Amino acid sequence: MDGAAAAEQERDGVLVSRLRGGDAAVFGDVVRAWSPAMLRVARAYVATDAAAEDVVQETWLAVVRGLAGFEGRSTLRTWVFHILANRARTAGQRESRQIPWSSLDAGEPAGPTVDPDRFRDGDDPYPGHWRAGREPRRWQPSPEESAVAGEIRVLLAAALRGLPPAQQTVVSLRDVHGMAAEEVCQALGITAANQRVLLHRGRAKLRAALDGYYHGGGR
Amino acid sequence: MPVPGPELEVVCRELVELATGYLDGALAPEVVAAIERHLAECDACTEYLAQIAATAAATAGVPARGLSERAAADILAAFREINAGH
Repeated sequence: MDGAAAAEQERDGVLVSRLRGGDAAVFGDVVRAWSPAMLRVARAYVATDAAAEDVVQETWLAVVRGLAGFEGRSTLRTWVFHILANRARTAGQRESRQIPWSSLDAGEPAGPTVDPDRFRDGDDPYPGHWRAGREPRRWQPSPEESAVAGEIRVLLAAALRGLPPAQQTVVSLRDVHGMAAEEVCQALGITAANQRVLLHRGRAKLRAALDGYYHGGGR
Repeated sequence: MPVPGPELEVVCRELVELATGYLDGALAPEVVAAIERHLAECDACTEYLAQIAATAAATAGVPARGLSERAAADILAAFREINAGH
């Protein structure tokens, strides 16, 4: 095991023993830190925010009850999210809601995420290159500048809500909640390739929305 | 000694669809190399990739819903109850 992995395992060991020792302050911190991502995962399986909150609450109660028996074969977080996914799946089934992730984007045409019209075609000496005048134009000031950051945050929140559900879930988990690709795949029960396609399509739409903010629509 | 074949080439229309894979470090080394050769000569694709990355970074600032106060309090109460006597 390399140094970084060993350090992570040690930190996790300290965390688990604090929680087993009844440290409510640390437990409160963990609940507050992890619950937003957990809510987002749960929301992928059930029909309402309220149902998602129930799932997350049930999960934490199961964690509290199961902590004494946790053997540390995975990290605490992996274990918690595993419980979460199981509970969310069960709750979704109780709602008679199937989540066939492969079909959640049905109706959404597959294909390029950038208008093919923006590229030179086969007759051109440089097929596949950007057409003159259709290249991406710089965003100024950049999105993290305080002058625009607030408006951009609002715009992106709205654009995110407008994404098809599977794309919205993956973009939220990866980019809003900062979850790693592997963790997202495990939480949702999807392949790395599927996850990447959903992230790609979702991000392309958000980029287009931001480009609309900077340069007006239609690009 | 094997004769090296022609280098893989990526054009703009292809690169934009590889953006996420590239930023995730999920692509094969020869594809990464082809992309980077292309980026060295293509300001437009460099800008496109930068915009995808900037979009992802800006999305991190979107507020996320947390647990309600009631739910958090119930969870903490359950924790304290199970751990009473520690």
